[in-house]
Amino acid sequence: MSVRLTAVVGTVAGSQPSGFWTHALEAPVLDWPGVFLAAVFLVYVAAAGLYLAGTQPRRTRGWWICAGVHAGGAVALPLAGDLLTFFILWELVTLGAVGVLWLEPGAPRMVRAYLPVQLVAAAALMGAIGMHVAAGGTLAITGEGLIGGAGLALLAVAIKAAVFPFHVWLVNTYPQSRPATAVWLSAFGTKVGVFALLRLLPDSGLELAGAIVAVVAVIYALSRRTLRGFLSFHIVSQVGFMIAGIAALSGAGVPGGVYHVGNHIVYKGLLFMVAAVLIERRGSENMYLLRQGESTASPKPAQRRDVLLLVAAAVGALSISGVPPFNGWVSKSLIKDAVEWPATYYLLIAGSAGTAASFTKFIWLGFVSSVVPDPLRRLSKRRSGRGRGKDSSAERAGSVEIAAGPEGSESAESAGSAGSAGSAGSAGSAVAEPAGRPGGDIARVGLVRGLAMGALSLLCLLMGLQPSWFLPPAAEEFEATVAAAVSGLWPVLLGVGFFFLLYGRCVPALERLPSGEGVARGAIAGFRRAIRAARELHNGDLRRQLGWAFAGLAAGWVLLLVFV
Amino acid sequence: MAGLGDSLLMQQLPSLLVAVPLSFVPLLYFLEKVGVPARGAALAGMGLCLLLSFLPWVEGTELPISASPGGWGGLLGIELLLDGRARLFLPVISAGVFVSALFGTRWSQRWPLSFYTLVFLLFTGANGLLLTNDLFNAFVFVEIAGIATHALVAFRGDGDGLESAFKYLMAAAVGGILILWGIVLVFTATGTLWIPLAAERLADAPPVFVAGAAVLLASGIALKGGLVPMHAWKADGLAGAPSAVAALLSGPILTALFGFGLRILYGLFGGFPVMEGASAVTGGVEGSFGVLGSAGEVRELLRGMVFVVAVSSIVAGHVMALAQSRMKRMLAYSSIAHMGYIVVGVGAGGEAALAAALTHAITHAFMKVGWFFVCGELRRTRGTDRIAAARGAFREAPWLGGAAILFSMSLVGIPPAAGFGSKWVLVLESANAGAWGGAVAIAAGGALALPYYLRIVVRGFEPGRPRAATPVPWDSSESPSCPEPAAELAAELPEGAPPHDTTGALGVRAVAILVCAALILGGFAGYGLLFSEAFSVATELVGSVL
Repeated sequence: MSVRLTAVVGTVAGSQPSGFWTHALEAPVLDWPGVFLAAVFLVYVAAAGLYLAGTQPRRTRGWWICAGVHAGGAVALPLAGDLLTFFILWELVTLGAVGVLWLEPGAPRMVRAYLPVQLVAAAALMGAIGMHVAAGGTLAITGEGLIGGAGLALLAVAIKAAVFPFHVWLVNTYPQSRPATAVWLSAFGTKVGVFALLRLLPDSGLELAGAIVAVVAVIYALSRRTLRGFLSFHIVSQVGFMIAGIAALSGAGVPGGVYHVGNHIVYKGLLFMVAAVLIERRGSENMYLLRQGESTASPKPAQRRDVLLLVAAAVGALSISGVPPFNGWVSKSLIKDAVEWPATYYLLIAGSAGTAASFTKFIWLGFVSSVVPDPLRRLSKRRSGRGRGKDSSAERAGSVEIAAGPEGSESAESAGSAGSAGSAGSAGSAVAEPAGRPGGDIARVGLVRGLAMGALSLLCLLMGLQPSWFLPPAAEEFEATVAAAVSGLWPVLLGVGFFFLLYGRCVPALERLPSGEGVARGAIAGFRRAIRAARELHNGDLRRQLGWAFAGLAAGWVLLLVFV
Repeated sequence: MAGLGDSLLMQQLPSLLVAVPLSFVPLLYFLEKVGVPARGAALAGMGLCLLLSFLPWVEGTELPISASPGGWGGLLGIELLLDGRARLFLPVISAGVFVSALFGTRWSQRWPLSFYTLVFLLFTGANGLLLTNDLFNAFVFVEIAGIATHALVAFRGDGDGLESAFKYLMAAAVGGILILWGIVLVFTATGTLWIPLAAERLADAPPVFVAGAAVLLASGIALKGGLVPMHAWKADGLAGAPSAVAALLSGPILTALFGFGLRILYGLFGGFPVMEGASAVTGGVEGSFGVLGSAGEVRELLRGMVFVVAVSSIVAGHVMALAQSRMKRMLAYSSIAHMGYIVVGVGAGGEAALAAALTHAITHAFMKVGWFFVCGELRRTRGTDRIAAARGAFREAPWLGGAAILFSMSLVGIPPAAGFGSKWVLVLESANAGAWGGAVAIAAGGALALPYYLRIVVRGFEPGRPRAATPVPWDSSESPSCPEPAAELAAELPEGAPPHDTTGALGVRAVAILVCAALILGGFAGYGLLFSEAFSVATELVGSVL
């Protein structure tokens, strides 16, 4: 049967001089970035699948099909040899994610946030490919990328990769889904977008833009209160790193950038797994309430399990912060070495420091204390308010008002995630189901999930210790010297210091950051208004209908008569 | 089969393709008199026509097949010509009509004789429009199809149907008059109505005549096809028609009209010039805009007009479809957008873009018919085509939901379905021919289109049934002239009650056929074959001008 089909396609291809359809099919591209990324996706599929298998309640078959389409498209996309296959797989990734989100509780809101922009991205990609062809390009994927339609391709990539001003879809979907669903989704969509940048626009020269995105998104991440809102903004920030590497002006950042994509899949997946377990155990998504939830619940066994969880969280945090010898350090060093402009370099350093500060906060609030340390505040209080010694209890509480807030936990949650009005219900229900499950069940389920997390943790370490196993042989050899370790470590120390000394002071300012929701809402309202206007224009009046027709006729006639 | 190629049957095939459906118009009445049910006779007749329409595909057939019924000869001008373009479209029309008849409606069950008589009249008009090679018969067939159309649109006989039919009548009458004026101008300038001769003589005609005829014919066809700014009547005209009729008008009839438009464009006026930069395909041949093609700026102006019309059709069609709350209107607006897609491909010039437009016309016909069937099924079970009333319908009938998803994917242009192939090629080939603005508009069209189909699909798979609908005065189920059983209203339908008519089983078959068509045409081999056929037709069309 397949032989016959091939024969048919062959004859068609022969008889058709310009057939894009059949000539479009090219053999897969098996270069290093593609194979590496596909392999990482595949490993992650296994790990996340294991994790989800250990999660209650079980996902439905439909959910698994959609998730499989999403992940399968992502696994195959890096190997696509022609733009047709590339586009089809891109669509599969999008549609799979839409299906997954549709089957989540609170779906309409998420699909509304996800689908329209993704449709724009798909349309932009198709338009870009069209303009590439118009400029004389072929559909085969070569190293040169598109020769036309760069602007549209950039739009598609920016949306898919959630580059900063186009990130709203991401921070409004992943944090709203069920915790284990976010584990699955976090790996694929944005990485596909970054990979598209490599395939379609290899010479974009966007290193500075990438670095700016890395820093801005870190600032937003520091302002988040919800665990997964925070992790989602870190995806945006890390995408900035990847773009800075792939689009480095020197052109030497591709191995580093792609390696960072792979590393990020591994450690961000690990962090989302930790987050899911934390949310389930502590019954809250609010980072400031994580410790409080735990201290009241059964303390002892929880703490013993928490040690392993802490290890996993620490591995993830150290990796994403770029601490040697974890994998983030390797790829960040490669990227920093590759960028050309000093401004980019220092912005990336700032991004690293911010990431380190964020994940210090993550570990601190998750496992150490529910209060952000604020020594300066204490200092200034002591200096100015020596007479008011009675307030010392409030002082000791530090910035506890950040934690609980006047509105209580539910409203704090909804205030924290970007514009998540009405999301409290869905987040609450998603959180509520696994909490309070009897210990035996959690232990059994915990083993499976622990395996997944352990595997990813080991992978983080392995990819950091033995980068030569993963990096292309032709690429510049990464040397794990002391100098590299120091240059990786000092931004981290800077960030940790920032967290312990200054972060508490910055929180009020950070909370006032504009969320950009207004712009999105305005755009939607404008579109609605346009539709309403169009509808009022087509009011069904026959005179109007015929009038337009005659006006069109007259216009055509006049134009022709003038020119003939 | 060896001798079939030059047999008498093949020589008379163009005449038969018109005569057979026409003969069934009176025949149905007599057959019913002798006890043959109209529906069965009609299905047999349509099956026969479908068979005939595939005959030109038999190996060894030499195209074009020319026939001059009545022996009037070429110069006077009565000629039916079966060329590659007609061969490509004939099965689409016949299959579309056959499937629509198979699907049927409550109305075709109530008055089968009149329904199928009118459908055969429409069929005759469509086939004739596609085959005719002279302007006189073109007008005759336009009017035959038009008369049948008005009666079919009003078939429900209620206020909604009558309003639709009146609007359809007005728009189509104006369109017919414009076409007639165009024909008059051509005749004045050339003294003949036979298209090849007229084209020859038009070359020496005063340009004012030529330009006038071009504008009038183009406007008339655009008005019938529903292109901006002549689109406004279209949704109103289809809203009150039975679903099977709406399917017929948006699928096969639009395809026939498109085929007629191609004949006028390429046979009479010499086609659109190939755009600059399209030399990759045509080897640098600057196609003449046959008659009007002397001045470069006129050609560019014409092309600009065509693209303005096409892009505004795409935008207006999709935006208005988004704004609708009733399925038929939504689908009608979607058709406007798809006509815009096709015009982009035609306007881009060059064989490849034209071939892409041809394939899109074909896939669109099938998918739109399919969606109207889904709409008809929903109307049958829910009593209304309101989108809000679709709630839960696909849960009750998952096969319907699956078909709706497939047709939606096809119309939006999502991979495994047929529409993706034609849209992909259309975008690439239009861009390749230099019409990148139109290509971007088509690419963006998908983003606008998915939400309004998805809305119905999501609604259909939601649990539960629509809340008790308050009957609205313009809802057809309230119409006094055609009282329906009270059970028609969804609200009053008891849980699990069987639908009161029996078109269901055949309807399933009709939808299944279209699903197969979508999948086969969407497959690599299927779409590749379709495109290569369309490409040879396009080469023939463009080549006939050069």
